[in-house]
Amino acid sequence: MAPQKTLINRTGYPLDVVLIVRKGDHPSLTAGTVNVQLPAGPDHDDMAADERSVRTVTYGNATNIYLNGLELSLQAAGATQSRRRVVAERGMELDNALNMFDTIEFRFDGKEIVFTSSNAASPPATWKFAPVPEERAG
Amino acid sequence: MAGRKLFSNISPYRSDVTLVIRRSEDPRNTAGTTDFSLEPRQSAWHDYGDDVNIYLNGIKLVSMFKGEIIGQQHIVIVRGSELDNQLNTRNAVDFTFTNGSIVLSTHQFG
Repeated sequence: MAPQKTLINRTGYPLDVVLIVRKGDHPSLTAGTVNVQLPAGPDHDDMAADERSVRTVTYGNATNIYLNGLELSLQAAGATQSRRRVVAERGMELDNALNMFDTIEFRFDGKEIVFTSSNAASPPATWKFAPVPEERAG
Repeated sequence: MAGRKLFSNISPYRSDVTLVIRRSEDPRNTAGTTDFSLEPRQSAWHDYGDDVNIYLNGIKLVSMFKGEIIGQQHIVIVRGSELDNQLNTRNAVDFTFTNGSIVLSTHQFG
């Protein structure tokens, strides 16, 4: 089954995303790209735009299940900003961010597009600090 | 006289720089590019364009760090925008590195 990612655009601007798909498991090989356009969102006046700023995207196939990189571009403040991050080595920060999580969220800090990854199904890390009552036998 | 700026790579990573030169005054037109590389903590003056083409339209940066290749590109589409002013009203451009991004800043040297 082809893998999926949920992409969320919180930059405030329409965002172009290109997912670069890894061929097999070695980052030096690429198995094509997937282009996604996410409208600016959330804009609570326009429910349709809100919905489209969150997209679950299918990429690759049963064999090509990893991402090798991302290209992001948007137009803001009279300029186009684009960023490309491509994995060169497995197990490093970017490889983990792209391939250990099912959700990627994009933001714009006024100069750079940034992204963070998370897993929709798992609770936020901070929840783990809540005291858990220990069960003692006997 | 062509455009001339002092470029400083304050980051710990080598950076490949491409300057996109504006053709005359309209940011829609481009008059080619100039490429150079800066080693970590290296500063160098670079000339670009010619007598007529003295403005920059944008800048592209590529670095490698922590097992990834990172590329950024900032291109002016409106004159007088923040990026246009950054690139064309000051003569020194600095690159720093924060949280996986190359951060661009400019100032007037001398």
